[in-house]
Amino acid sequence: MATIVRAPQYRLPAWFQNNRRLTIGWGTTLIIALLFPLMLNPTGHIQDITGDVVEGEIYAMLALGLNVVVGFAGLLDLGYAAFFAIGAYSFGMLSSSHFLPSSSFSSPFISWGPNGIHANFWFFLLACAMLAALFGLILGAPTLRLRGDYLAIVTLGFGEIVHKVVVNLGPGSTINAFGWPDITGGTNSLDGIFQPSFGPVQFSTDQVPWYYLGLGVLAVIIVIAYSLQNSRLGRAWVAMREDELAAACMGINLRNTKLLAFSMGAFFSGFAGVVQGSRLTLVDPSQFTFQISISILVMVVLGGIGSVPGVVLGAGIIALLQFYLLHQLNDWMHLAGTTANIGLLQHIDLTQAQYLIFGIMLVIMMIFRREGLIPSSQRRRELRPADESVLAEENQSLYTVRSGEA
Amino acid sequence: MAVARERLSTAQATVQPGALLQTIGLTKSFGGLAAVQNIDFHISPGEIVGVIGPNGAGKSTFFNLITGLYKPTRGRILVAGQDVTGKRPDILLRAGVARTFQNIRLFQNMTVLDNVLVGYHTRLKSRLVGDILKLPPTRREEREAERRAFEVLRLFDDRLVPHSYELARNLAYADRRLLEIARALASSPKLLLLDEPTVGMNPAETENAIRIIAKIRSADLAIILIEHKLNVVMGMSNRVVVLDYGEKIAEGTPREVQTNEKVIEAYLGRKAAAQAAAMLDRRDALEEAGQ
Amino acid sequence: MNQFLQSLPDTLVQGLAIGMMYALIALGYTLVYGILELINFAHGDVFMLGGLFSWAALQHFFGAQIGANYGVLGGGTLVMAIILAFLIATVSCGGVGFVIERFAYRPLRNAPKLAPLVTAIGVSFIIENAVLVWQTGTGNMELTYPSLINQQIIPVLGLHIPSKAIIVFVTAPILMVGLLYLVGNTRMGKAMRATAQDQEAARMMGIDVNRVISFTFIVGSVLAGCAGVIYALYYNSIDYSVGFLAGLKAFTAAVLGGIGNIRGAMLGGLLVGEVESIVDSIDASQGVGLQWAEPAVFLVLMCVLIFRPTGLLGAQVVDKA
Repeated sequence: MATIVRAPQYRLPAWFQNNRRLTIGWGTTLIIALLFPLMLNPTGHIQDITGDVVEGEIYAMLALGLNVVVGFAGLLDLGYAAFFAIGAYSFGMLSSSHFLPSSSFSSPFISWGPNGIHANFWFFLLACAMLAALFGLILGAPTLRLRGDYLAIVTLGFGEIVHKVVVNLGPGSTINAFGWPDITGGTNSLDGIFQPSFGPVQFSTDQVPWYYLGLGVLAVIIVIAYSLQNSRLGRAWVAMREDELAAACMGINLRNTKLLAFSMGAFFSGFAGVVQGSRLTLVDPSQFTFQISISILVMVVLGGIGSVPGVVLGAGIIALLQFYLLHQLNDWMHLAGTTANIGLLQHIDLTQAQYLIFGIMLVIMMIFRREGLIPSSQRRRELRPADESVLAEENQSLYTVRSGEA
Repeated sequence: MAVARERLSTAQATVQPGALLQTIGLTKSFGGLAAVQNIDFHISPGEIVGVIGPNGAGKSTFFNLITGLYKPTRGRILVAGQDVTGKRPDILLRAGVARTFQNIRLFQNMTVLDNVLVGYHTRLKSRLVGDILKLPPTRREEREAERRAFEVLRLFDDRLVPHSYELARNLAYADRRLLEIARALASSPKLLLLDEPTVGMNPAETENAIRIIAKIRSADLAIILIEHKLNVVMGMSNRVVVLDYGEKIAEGTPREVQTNEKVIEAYLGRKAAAQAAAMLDRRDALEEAGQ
Repeated sequence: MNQFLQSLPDTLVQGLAIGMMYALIALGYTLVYGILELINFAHGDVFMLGGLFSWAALQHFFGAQIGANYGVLGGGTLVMAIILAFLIATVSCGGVGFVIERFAYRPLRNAPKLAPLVTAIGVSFIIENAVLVWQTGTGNMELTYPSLINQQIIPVLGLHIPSKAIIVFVTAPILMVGLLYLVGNTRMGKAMRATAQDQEAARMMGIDVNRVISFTFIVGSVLAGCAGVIYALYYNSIDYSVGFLAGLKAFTAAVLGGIGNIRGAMLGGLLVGEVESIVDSIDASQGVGLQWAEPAVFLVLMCVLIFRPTGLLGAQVVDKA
């Protein structure tokens, strides 16, 4: 084999087209995003609106993280909020006035004294995300050989355990009988989290710096998500989703490949947890419930499983719905109830119906548009298989075959 | 149990030093039913060994065992002298055993090129950090992998190269079979297991497949071939192993195997074999009488 | 510790009672999983609906008497009320189960596994939150379920059995035996077993697989609905949120016993009930207590799935390779 031509003549023009569309799409989004706070009326509700948008950015981070697990690796994780909690709580404990040590210590990374523990935000943003990733590994290592539906249940159980542990390790919990201090703040929430500064910019109640911070973190995550997708690992994920057995026979270590997806997903949500915790200066168990895990899943499913722009859009839609549309609808419905004199319409609180709407969205999307609003071309084909016999084969798990259950 | 141990120990005595792959007393039972029983098998570098046998003889189970899809109930598997019994499929691939499947198991929704690149997976050194940051070594490696993938695709004449960027599921049936071989070859195996590579092909396609298999065989690549078309096996193999009811009933050159009584019996059925034997006896008797 | 040991027999009795409820719910998971290999996440919510619908029916027909006697009825009215509660739960939950299968799961029968799982979660969310919206909209946040019988402690052989546990001990075994008979001795039961073994073969033998699947959902949902009534009578309350946790615990029970295995689900239910009851009974001063019961059950679930995914009695799922 002497000179090898890279055979560009076979490249589908669609490939370029797709990429060009993507570049233009993301470029425009970025420009609008950068200018966004300038477009708001500074005397109006700029803080409220920006705050909601930052919330949306955090949703997008979470959705992108879950997308690595569900979309790229095809593993259904129903306890994803647990990793969000781990990121938020670990940072909250390390950088707040929650613990008041009697001794003093000082270093560039972390220092403590009688008024609390101060951790370097920028360093611990990474460290706490890595801790979340570590928990991803710890949970994933024993569970990832399970069949897909069992994995869903185990992750759900894990999410519930983390939630319960956080609640139970607070003040007034029975575990204090052992003389353990209040570790997590429990349902009282863990507050007094310190906020970072970056050069002259002090992050505080002004939401605009948080907005740009969120944008930066989000951009990094989006770039990472794209790189992962177009890499050796990304290819292995697709192969594994397509046909686990054949992938193993082509030398792909299923456990490690799944674990990487799991911990990458956890890593992203750890990021989100740190940002959210220090922005609100508190973390609370109610931010990490099963409902939150499912809300993130709704963003992924709505936007398009496996599609990076899709899940960002999905997160945006959910944020819009939650912070704006539902309230609007609620007002309209109450108005309609009053005019038509229907008691039920006046009393029903649509903001309570949020999860009902999410449930309906999940079912409708799965039945009518499994691939989401902005489908990943790869996932669309997989989610709409051509014939059943192939599907049965592709659904086989290596574990069951090897353990002789097949 | 005592019998089994004895069998194993006698088998161990026959470890082949130069063998690329060797199985000793390999057995797999499903719920008490032995699908593969006590198989001693070996193959040397550069050899082509055909495995034949009636339907349900255990040929595919045998392949699943030596590629790690099944854990053996008993017996050992050695690759280049190293014990790999019960190891996972990906470890066996790293050890140099690659395979194709009887019912094509391509990554249907990936492109032809990507399928081959997945085969190249174990040769790539890039890890998470390189994958994320797209460091120069990773980029270089990806370019090199793509180049190598085209090299492999080109082995199949113009059957695959023109479709490099098409989805595997859109290929013609015969080409999908070829792509499976290409994907396996991309991992630079020492041993290639082909599970009925020409099944369902018409004579012209079969001809072409045979030509390509002949082309890829080399001094470093051993091939085990499961095949129903006896003319294909007999024509290509250095040696043929015959399985029946999970057991090895014969082994030898194609010529030896073709005249083996047990083989005829397995293929034609016991009654037919008995009839054939009776007919021969009668002829002999007649000949004697005639003299 | 001493106190713990002293009360252990009573703890076990209590565990048996809640275990039987879990067993009834677990049966639905196991039946459906056995046939479709689908975790019906909405099953726990169907259970909740059983309690809710029967609450509504009792309020409607016996509201006055219940109000007059602090929830206690006597004689013929009591029998009528109990029959009504179970009847309503049976009919309504059976209907809900049928509708869920027909409109949410059936369209996805041939989709990749992710799709029905996500749908199941969606259905669960819909039921749970529709009830929440109804409860908030109608101001019924705290639904007190009438206990129907006098609450007292009945001493039996040194044990202290609460009278409400009697309801469980009477009704649950009847339902379980009924199910065993249905699956083991009837034509439909045979069809169910055949479909669980091999859908394709069952279809070729002339079994209407769709009908069997619908029937299975109905049977599972009826059991869950009855369990909902029992639960509500036992705890004297019902609300939108009980389905999720009870469902998860019952699923643990099903997996513990070996999913797809009917006797396994019963055994698993009892074990989960005992685990919960024991963790609950460890005195709060020991630092444990009810709030650790849930993590304990989930830990059991995760350990079973990781170390013995086929469960104690072995899964009876045949993987269709």
